[in-house]
Amino acid sequence: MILEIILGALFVPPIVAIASRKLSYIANSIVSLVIIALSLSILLGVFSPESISMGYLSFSVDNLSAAFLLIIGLVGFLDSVFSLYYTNTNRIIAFTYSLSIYSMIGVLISSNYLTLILFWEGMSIFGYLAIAYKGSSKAFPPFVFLAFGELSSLFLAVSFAGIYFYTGTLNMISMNINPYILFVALVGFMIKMGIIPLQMVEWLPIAHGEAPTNGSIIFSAAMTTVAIYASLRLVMLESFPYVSIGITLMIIGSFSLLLASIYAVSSENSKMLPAYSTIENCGAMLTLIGLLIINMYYGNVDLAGFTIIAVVIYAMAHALAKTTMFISTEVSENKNINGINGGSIRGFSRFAFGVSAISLMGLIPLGGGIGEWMLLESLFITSTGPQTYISLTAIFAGSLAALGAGMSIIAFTKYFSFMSMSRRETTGASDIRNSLSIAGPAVIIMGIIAPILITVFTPVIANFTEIGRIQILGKLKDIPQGFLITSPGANGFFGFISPTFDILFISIPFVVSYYLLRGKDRSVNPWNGGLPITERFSSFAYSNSIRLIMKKVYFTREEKINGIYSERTFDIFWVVISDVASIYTKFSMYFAKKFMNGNINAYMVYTIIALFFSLITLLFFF
Amino acid sequence: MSRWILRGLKKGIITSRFPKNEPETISPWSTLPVYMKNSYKGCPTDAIHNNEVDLRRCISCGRCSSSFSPSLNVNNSIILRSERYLKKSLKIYVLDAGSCGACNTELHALSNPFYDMNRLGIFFVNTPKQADALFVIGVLSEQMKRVVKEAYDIMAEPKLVFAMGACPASGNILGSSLSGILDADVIIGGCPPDPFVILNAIMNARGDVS
Amino acid sequence: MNTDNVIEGFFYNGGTQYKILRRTEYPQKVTAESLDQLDQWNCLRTEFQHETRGENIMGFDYGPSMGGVIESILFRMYTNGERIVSMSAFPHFKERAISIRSQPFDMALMRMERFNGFHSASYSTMFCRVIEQSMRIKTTQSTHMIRIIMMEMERIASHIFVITRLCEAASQNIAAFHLNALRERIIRLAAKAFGHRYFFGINSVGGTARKIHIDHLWEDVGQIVNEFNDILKLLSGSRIFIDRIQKTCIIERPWLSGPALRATGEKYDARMSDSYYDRIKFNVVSEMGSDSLARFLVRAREITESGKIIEQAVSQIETTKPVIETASEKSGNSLVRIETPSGNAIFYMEIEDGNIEYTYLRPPSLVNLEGFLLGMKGNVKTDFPFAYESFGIWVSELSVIA
Repeated sequence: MILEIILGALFVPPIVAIASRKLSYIANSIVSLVIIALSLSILLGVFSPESISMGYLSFSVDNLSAAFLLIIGLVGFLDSVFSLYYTNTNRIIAFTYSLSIYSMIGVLISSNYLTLILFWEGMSIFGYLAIAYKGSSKAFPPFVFLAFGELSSLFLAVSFAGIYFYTGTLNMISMNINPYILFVALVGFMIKMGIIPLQMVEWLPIAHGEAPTNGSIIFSAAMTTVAIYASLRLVMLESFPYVSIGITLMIIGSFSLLLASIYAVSSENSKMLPAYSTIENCGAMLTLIGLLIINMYYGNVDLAGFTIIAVVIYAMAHALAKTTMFISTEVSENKNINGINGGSIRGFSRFAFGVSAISLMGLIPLGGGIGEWMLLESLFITSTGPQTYISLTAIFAGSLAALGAGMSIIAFTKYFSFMSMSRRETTGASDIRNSLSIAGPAVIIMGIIAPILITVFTPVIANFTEIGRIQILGKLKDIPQGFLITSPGANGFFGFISPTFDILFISIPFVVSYYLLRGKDRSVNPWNGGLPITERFSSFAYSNSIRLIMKKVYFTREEKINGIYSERTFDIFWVVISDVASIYTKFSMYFAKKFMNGNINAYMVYTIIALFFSLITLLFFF
Repeated sequence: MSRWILRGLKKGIITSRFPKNEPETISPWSTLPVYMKNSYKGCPTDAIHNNEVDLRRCISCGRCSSSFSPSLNVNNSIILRSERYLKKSLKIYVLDAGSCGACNTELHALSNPFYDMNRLGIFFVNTPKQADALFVIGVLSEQMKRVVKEAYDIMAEPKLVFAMGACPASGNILGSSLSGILDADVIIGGCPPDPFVILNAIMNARGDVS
Repeated sequence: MNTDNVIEGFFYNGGTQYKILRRTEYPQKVTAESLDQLDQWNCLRTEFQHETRGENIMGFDYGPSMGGVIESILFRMYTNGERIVSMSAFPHFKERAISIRSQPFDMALMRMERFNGFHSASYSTMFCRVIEQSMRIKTTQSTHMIRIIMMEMERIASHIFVITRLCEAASQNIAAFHLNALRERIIRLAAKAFGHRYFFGINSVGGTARKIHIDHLWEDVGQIVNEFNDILKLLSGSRIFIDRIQKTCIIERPWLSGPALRATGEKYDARMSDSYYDRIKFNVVSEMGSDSLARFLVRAREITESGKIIEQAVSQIETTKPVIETASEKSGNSLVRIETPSGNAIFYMEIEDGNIEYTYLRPPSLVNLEGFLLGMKGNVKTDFPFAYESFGIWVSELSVIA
């Protein structure tokens, strides 16, 4: 029943979108609520996992999909509520937006590789349509998005063919296949996450395309989460854990984490900075998946279970906080952080914004902090193991992760302070106070109910055959049973935190002193050497010292052109790829002029729609 | 590193025992002149009336040396208001409103090992927000008026204003005084005041010395 | 490079423009066009603005009242973060209009003493000498020597102060305390010998006004100089200190003044052509590098030279009692160069009928401030204190004398 309800309900928003965009978003939020309710009931054991099949398509829902359904449902709900206030949207965007959500949910509940690749392709196509609709025909960011989407699908197709070759079926069953085939599939998923050096997949369409903000939320908060789910699913199906894959994932992940957060610091675009942060978070989750494989290989069942919970918690914290972050970018038409008028983010909405920024900084007691803590704990517990090379890599990855977490604090301090700064000379865009005030508390509630979430997510571990139930929650002195999150160690536990009590300890003195001392505060001007303030510190200057220190990373160039002085940084991977792309473009322009002459955009739409339909046809004539 | 320590040990303690003991030295023409003999007319700052010298006006020029001689008295200040709460610790923000540079260096000298103001709980701070006392030095130039006002406004209570030297007290021979902009709580005489005079005034202003 | 024709000063008088060249005795007429291309033209007009605008460039205000710099001055750094692209200064905040024109000499002298209180001996000597030269007053050899002693003691105190500030900026606190104590000792010596810590009230037009006490003076000064050299040896061994000041704020211009000029390798010192120093032997110190380290080394070595000068001057004093000579003429004009601790100051004065008619004073801080601003280009904000303190700039000198 559950699957039928989900698949059926998801048809409503796109159909409604033909009539009205508002109705479509309302329908989307209701459907999201339904999905949240259904996934929770599966996790809590009210409904048992089930599966259905329709022709070549087959669907199933289990604890792992339910956990991610819950996350995507939350993002979908918050994003749809935001879309109601969002002015820069229309029926076509509402239509493609609804179908993007459909495709993502489809990936989460698909139970054979054909279904998965179909919905995966749907994600790329509808995402492309959502960003390409507004862009001019020459805008290439949507093409990049589509190109890498297709590249990802290509990798998946190759890998799934290999799996079919080994297992003889396209159904997702437990298997023991060649690690290279598994790795090819993982690369396909990683492309979608924008893992370094392919980070432009993530930031380019969001920052430079004219992607609508609700679409950006889907790309950044939801699609990457779906990619994480798919990687986790594949790792789960592989019955023999290959430690080499684990180490590779761990190194790629932690490297991405550090580099992406370094790039985030130097970013001056209000959408690019959170997009880099998404890469950083994906890197963290990838590291955790790598740790899962390593610990499964060495039979550290407790720690493996801990990492699975960590991935889910991390994914949830990231999805919620990132949604809030992207909502905040709509405060101003201008996307240059230096020119944003964030004057309307005041009072409670500012608090909500701040909370999500702190969560993305990875600070305890908020969700992101719990995830960050679980990541570092897993890394350092793994490093205490007996295998020297594993220990050394884990320590290395751990230091990269810790450094990256530190850099993200700089990035989000900058983001929060400059985004909520009032500048009268520029005008604001949408009124985002309401949507911020709904999304922000979700982040803080997640911190408070973290123990409950962990309890709810614990059944996910049961999906992984070799791992039984593990004990993550514990008690210590006056902290009652269940409010202490512990990490497994040699003697009981390795480390512990209690986010609920942390929040209480922080908020109670604050609230009490706030109410006791109301009206007694004294406001004074800042001391600017005795003069009124005429100049403003710029966000560029805020991170420029890091640009100068990390010249080797950013390839900082100080330029003086016609007496105007500027300083530029380069995403070196992007520079290389764009050079290759320009060579390729020259070649294809030559090719196009010789053999084809028509509207390139129409041609693109034709190509992808043809591809989509041929895939569907393929399913029925297989 | 060790050579610095050795050098420090070799020098011994040079810090003054003031205010427990009398000051070791004092610059004669930084203290208030007292009447000796004859009468003197033509004081350039009109500081002498009835053979009494007004410390607000006296600039220690020594032109009156025929009938006046330096008192060598360290107590060369007027305390209009004292603040006992600042007895243990006093954070000073120095505001140069148009000085010649001598007062700046005399204040700087307070931190040298001879005077070592830190032993008395006196410190310099870099912003008036952290300051308990505002030291205004120099004649008040037109552009510094709003700076002085602004600095005083953002200081937290309790706060003291020191008019240091003849310039802010009376305008010296060079410009205008502090009056009309701020009311000084403590006026320190001298041009420039001797460091011991400054220390003495600070101690008095916080009620340390009777 | 030929630095003899460097324009050191510029003024208007009676609708005509005059320039003052280095190593000349009198101002010369000049046309405005020939000055426009001048590198130091801005600062000679007391303008210190170098505004840069552009992508990501913002103005960052430091001052006018701040703890870091002991005087009130506003610096606006044009920066895109850490790097200083250019820098403007607005020194007029504490500007005092010091009126000496048509004033009695005595009042004018007291004002000149307070022009820059820390270098009061140099400026009061300069004021007295310009009147003495204009009015043909022949001063005694003892007066010359007393003035030299005052100026050299002041130089020692000032150089030690600059080096102290440099040490404080570079967090060499122990060295700073030792040096600060040395400065206090030299100032106490001055108070003992001359009755005032800053030499106020000693100089008088025509001679000196007070009896001085210079017994054992040079032994005491010599001891201080020796101790300073000990500290210098220790300080030169500090990698941190040297690293911070080396290659900081490199500025090599012929129009700089004093230690900043001599740090570029140029052996020019106004004392070389000063008649007071005719019977005194001393070396002009110069260093290569033009950076904060070179300026620091010039000052450090000059302290030793000043110690030698004081020793010679003390032996040439005939009387310590006040002597005041009288004028033989009522009108005249003259130009006097004095090497103040910060650099050479130029004073031009016209006297009519015993009345000061016109004055022009070019203090060294005028050109050195411009040098500092230009030198800071490309340095980072952290370098600011190491650079600023190495010049020994006194904002009080930028006041208007009229």
